[in-house]
Amino acid sequence: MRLCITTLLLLLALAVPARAALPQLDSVDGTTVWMLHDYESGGIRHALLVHAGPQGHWGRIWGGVVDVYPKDIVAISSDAVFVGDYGSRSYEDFVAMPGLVVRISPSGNVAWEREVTWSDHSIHLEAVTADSAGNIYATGQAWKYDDAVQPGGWHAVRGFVFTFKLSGSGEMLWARRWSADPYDFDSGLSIATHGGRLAVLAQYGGPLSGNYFAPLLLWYSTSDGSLQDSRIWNVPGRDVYPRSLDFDDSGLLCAACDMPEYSGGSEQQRDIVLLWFNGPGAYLLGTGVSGGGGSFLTAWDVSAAGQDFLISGAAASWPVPPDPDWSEHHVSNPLLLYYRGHYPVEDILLVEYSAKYQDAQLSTVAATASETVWVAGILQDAPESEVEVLPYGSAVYYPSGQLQAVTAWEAENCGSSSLAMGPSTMPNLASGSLLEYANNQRLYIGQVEWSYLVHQPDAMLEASATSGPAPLTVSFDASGSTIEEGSIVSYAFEVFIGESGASIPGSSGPSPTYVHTFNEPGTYRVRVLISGDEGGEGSAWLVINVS
Amino acid sequence: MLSRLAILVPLMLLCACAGNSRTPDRERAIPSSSQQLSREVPAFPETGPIAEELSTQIATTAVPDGIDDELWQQLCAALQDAVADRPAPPASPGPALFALDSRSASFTPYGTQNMVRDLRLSGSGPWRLSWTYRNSGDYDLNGSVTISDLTPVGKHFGRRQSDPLWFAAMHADGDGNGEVNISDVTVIGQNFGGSITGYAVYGTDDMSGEWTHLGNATVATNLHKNSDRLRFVIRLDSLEFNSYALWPYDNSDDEGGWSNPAAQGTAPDRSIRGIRSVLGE
Repeated sequence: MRLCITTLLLLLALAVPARAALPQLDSVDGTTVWMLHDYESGGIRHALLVHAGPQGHWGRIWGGVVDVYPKDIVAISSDAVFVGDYGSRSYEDFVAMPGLVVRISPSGNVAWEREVTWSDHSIHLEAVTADSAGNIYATGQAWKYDDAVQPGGWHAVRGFVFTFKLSGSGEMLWARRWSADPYDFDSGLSIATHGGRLAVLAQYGGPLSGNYFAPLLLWYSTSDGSLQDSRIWNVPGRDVYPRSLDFDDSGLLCAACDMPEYSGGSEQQRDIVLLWFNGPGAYLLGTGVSGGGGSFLTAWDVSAAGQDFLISGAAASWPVPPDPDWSEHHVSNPLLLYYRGHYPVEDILLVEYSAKYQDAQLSTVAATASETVWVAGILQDAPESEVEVLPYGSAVYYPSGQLQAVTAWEAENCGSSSLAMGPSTMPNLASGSLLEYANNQRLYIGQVEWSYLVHQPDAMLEASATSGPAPLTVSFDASGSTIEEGSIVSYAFEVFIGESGASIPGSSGPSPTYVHTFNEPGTYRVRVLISGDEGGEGSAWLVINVS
Repeated sequence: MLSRLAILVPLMLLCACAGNSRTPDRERAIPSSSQQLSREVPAFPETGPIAEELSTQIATTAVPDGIDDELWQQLCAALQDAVADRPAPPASPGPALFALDSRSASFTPYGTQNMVRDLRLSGSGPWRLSWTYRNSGDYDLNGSVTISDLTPVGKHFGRRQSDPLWFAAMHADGDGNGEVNISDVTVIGQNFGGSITGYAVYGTDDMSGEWTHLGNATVATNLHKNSDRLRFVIRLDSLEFNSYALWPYDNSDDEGGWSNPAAQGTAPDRSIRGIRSVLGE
């Protein structure tokens, strides 16, 4: 779908789901998790904060008399900083609105608020991160309308990528803009920092990418904000939507994007594209993840810890053959990808929470150095009749696996003050509780369970003969069996008679060989079960025909 | 072969080759290439010729020994239905790596479910290069999805996971529901005509450079068939290259997609088992 610049803004809203409506979370040490979501109450949009940690569990609604659109949150030590904005206005009503940065303490109090402005532009902050020294980096769009009337009577949007650094106390240290003329529009921004470098991922649509959407990667020095590199990666004739990025401990950067495939004027498929960078410069490798024909994979978030990358998203599919009205039928499942290094993919998990919750996605993931991985997402449009809902509640898992409570909150607590406090405590909620929104979206938070790989042996069985007259003595040899790591500790042989399943145990122990004499005519299957020292098992068998 | 590599390697490896044309406010160093990620799912065979081929095979294939004639007729009818219903691509079990090779190969394994994505290099001399055979519907493990794949279904029809002889029947459970039954015929129908003669194995020291063809591993001679894990295990007495990869080919030399590359130290040590959900199910 080739994008005309004049329709960029509209298409962005229609074709690219905004992150604003999806929860974001972050965790520093694995024991505390912060989650951010937008929340509508009394016709006004607010920021909904959920916190669980040693200092307590609570939920807060942050907002006021005007709409607030929370976008991203980062945990800094025991605090959290979230960013957002005040939404958009039409050309006629346009007023330059600032971006919003708020620091919250573990007790739920506001440490400070900052409103960030740039000349006569509105600021839409979309992503925030922090370095180990507690400095805060945020990025977003600064934009305004062009006064020139376009054919059709509308006004184009002019903007630039706006990135800045705040100290931990909220002092502005530097701010930078990146722009391209004559046409440019950036959205879907994300940000990450490592080793004195700051990477900003933005969405570019303009002549440099043939007027298709493409990921734009900007590299800044964290110390002075100097631009070190800026690159656009595009596929001619294709839109590629950037989603998120993060560094691992070595400085390897993973940028997750997704790429729709159009045919006949409608989207037929969407695949995930991962790009890997080891610093300002070209990428190392790209990886595609596809669900095959008619599936829609979306990468929403990337989080790294150590050398692990986790990419959360959604996998939707539609009936085959596709129904023209696919929105009525498509089913979205939570998707979680796990990579170590930039290749190969080590695990792809298509998470299905429940058959009865058939439309869900993982919008955010936070991996921590303590190997705790948090995920959050939403369920949509689950039939009321099939869902037990405890309204206005949420629940969080702790690393111990024990369900902990989070407070509940109610709409009337959202007043006109800048910070509306919900009840500070609530009784523990039972497992299965969740948060319900007016639009029938349900929120969940979960914790990823890992299992360490148990290497399975590849069994191989050879025989001195596979047929002959009775009595037939056959030597079996499984010494050709192998295992990737560790060693094979036992070989258990078993002789199965005919098709009945009746069997005669053979030898069992460290010897890979076995001798058996078949005294009766018939068909036999001799199977060896091999065990590795890590507990993995593999088996092989042979059919012996005795006449 | 080198000329083919020159085309395919860039498809697989989104290498860090970059020109540097600086503009006043940006660099645009990464060359754009529609080939780099412009994956085309290999063309799915037309139903008509496949249905004709199936009819021919049914007409010329005797009822296998040990299979009830009535059951065989049911299986054949189910297979014809499955082939007739296959304008859609094969159902994908979930996301998989791109088939970065965009060559159309109507009878080469198609679909992401057949891609090798578990290629591993392990050991410390000798080394092993190992991967799992993936060719959906090839229940008799001869490399081709034909009417002969109905034979294992017929022989083990009704056998379940709890059966002591499940190990001999499990490869006919194509839909993975723990029972060999009529629904496993659908997988044959969806993949009818798919064929893997073997895998062409390549090595390189430079992922963005040329790849050297090391040899082929064939289904006929290298696949461990009587095993619960359908594995290829290739022994390497020395490591000539840092990285290895492979692709499947059929007897027409049509090629499937690249596997994941494998290098020392890239084997995983853990995997995601699941997510504990607050939804409690």
